[in-house]
Amino acid sequence: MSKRAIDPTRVEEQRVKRMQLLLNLNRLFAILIFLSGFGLVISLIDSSVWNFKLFWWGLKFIIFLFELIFLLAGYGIALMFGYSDPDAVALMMSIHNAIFGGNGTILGLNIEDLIINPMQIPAQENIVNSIYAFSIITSIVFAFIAGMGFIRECNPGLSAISFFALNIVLGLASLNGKLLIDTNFNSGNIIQMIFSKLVITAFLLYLFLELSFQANYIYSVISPNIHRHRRISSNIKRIKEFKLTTVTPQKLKEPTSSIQHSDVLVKGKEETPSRPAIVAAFSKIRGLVGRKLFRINTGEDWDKLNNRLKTYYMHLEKNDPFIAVSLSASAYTPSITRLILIITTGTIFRLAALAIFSWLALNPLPVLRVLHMPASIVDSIEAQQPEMILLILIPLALLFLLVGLLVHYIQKRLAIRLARYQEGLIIRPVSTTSVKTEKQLQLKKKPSKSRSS
Amino acid sequence: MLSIGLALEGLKPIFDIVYLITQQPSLYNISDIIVLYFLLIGILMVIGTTFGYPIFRIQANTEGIQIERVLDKRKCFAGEYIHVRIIIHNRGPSAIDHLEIYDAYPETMDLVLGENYLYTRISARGKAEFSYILRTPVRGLYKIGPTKVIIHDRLGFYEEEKIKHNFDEILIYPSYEDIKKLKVLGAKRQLGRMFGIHKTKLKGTGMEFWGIRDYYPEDAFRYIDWKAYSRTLKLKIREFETEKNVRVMILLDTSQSMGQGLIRNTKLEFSIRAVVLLAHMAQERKDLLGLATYTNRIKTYVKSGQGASHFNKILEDLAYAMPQGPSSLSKAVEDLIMRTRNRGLLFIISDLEGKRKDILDGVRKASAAGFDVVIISPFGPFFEIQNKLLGPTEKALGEAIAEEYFEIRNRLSKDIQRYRAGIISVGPDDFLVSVINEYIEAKRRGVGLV
Repeated sequence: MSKRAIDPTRVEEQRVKRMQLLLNLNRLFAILIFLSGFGLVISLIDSSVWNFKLFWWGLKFIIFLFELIFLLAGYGIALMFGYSDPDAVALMMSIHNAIFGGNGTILGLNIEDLIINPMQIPAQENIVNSIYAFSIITSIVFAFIAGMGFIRECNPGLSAISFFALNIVLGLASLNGKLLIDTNFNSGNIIQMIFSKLVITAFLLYLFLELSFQANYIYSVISPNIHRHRRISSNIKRIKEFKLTTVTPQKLKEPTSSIQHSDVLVKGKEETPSRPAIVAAFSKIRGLVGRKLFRINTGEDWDKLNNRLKTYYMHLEKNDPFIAVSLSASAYTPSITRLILIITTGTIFRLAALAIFSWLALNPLPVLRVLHMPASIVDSIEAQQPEMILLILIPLALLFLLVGLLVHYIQKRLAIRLARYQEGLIIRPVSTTSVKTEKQLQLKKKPSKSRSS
Repeated sequence: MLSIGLALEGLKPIFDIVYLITQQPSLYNISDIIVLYFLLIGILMVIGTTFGYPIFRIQANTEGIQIERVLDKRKCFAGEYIHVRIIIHNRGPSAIDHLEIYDAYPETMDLVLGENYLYTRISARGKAEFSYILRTPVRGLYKIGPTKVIIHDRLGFYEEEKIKHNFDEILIYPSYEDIKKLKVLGAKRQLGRMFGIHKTKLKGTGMEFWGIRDYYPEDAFRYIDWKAYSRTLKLKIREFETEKNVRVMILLDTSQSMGQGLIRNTKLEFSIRAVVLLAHMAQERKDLLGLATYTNRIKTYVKSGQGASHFNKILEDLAYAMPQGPSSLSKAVEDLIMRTRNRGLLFIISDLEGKRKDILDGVRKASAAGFDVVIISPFGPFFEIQNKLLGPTEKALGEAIAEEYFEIRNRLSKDIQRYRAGIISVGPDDFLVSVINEYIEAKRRGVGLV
């Protein structure tokens, strides 16, 4: 099929529609990832945490702390400025009442007493639980907002914030004894480890982070191309539809009427104006004609530029019907099926590898035994401590980096060698076989020479 | 059998590892579950970020990326458009998941359609392509490039950046816009609107027909129009246009100071526009026009001549002109005198921001050598004060400087006139008009006749 038989704009439109579909699917995928991670965290926390009354008390306590710090700082400054003790207290009380209002108390505590003896806690029930509830709910709201931001623009930074906020929620819930994860965990058996609730939670939350990065990848590869296509297509359309407006004869007459004396245009050698003003005036008068005819580019004549661009574009399109596709670069956006395939396989591979390496890092002893480490290390008490994880984790991480650097080095060396070879600095050595064949040929020729001679 | 046995023996350590992995007893006495949880999260994050590095390194083979740039033209006039097509080839063995390509173009050019970058995935041995259209408002020799290649991993943890130093040169000739305007005006022949700018017809002994008139006894017989006589039975004389060709040499200052002014409307840019217009007018009128650009010596020299190829040569020299180096009119004139045998009208287009003695010396030498010297001098403050970005205080300061500057210029003008040379201080508004008027006036007066 010839190129002209295909309608380039139609092909392009179809491709962009597919891209848009993938982008929407990606967004849906991001929503699912986020909601699953979010739901999982909420399900792992005891429902007693979700108490608005506790949250409110927690908030009040935070405000109380803020007010207390304000009072103490102000009190200190007042003393520094030479106020006496009762005066400083009275001053701070009046300032506090002016800013925060109230009747000289905070959460039932007298301000005067509070300044003198700040180590007082408001007489209120479940103050610790309230602080936890406040922190957990605030973190979860924060995680939710960041998650929504992530869904909107697939920003991996926001998904990372959401991830860390959810982990903070889990940590706080654990400290408050509200975490509902089974403590029966045996890290020694990989099967048990994978199916334990703790690992599933950790993996799922990590999966949320990882998949959000994958979603961002799709977004960053597809989205700019869609925007670009829209922008450039509309520009091309506008250029094609552009029509140069003709100037009315009245407009043309205006400059001619203002110029009456032709002698001001022709200035000979004798021109020696005495003052700058005269020069400026002459320059201005002469400029009246020049400005109209040879317009200075202080403001571009956009109509003319557009008209020229239109002519140029039409000429390009005549030679290459696919110029619009080339300009919008929509022909080279990645294939949707391939993207889905590489992301799916890539994620599965990564997760499997992560599971194995995590297990190895969590269980350094098998590796130490394989490496024939002395019994003094393997059977030591330190080997039973979590710090021992670092013994495998750090070399493992460094190994990956080292392998990567090695690959980079080899690639660089190969590239240099290839470049030198192409420049002719490296000459391929003559193989022994070719030398042999030449010698053989000479040997074969010799008898014939002798015969002829 | 022995070999199978040996092979199995070799595999034994692997079996041992698998056994160890699957049958390990509990290792830690971690009472707090959350510690283990965060430990696991930490391990996942450390391994998750480092594990992809070798894979990324295998993919991120920037040497395998080859950039091909195709331009639809390499020479054009200022104000025209250039289509730049970028073709990216991945010669490497593996696909690149996230590739960013940025193609640099000169700041003075405008990107009018398309984008100069691309985000894409490129398969092994695959290619990608994008293009953009640039507008070239300012003349000169420009380079398009280099191209920046950035490879990211899918998760955005790593990136590899490489700048491919592949450049393509574009020569932008000075704008043809003024000439077009002149042509339009010439076609309309609107007398009085721009007196002298179009071709002036003078009756004389040229080749172009002027008109018919009655015969007078002193007229030469060879001009009698016998056809008209047969029609009217009266002797008629054919009259022709006169052809006065002048020799014009332009000495254009391309020193550093000529680059001052608004970015796209520097003194040099205006000077070049004026030269182009003058060259075109000279070509139309079959006058001989030469061009020499100078700084502290003659940089380029095109001897007086005419014709399309000569005009193109002048355009090319103007396209290459860059404002750089100090100015020495005296040395330039010396050099010019050595190069030219025939004298004529000499236009010196310079902002005269060199040494006073040197300028006067230059003018004196040119006049003494037999040139009819006209100095068209772009007056610096006129080009700089008009900048709209300047505030009222800066403008007031500028005007004060301009006034002082003008006094200096005035004294210089008086001294220059002693050498029978004219000096015209011009601003952006009257630059082109002044040059044209001087040329027309010189023709009218018969200065520099060939």
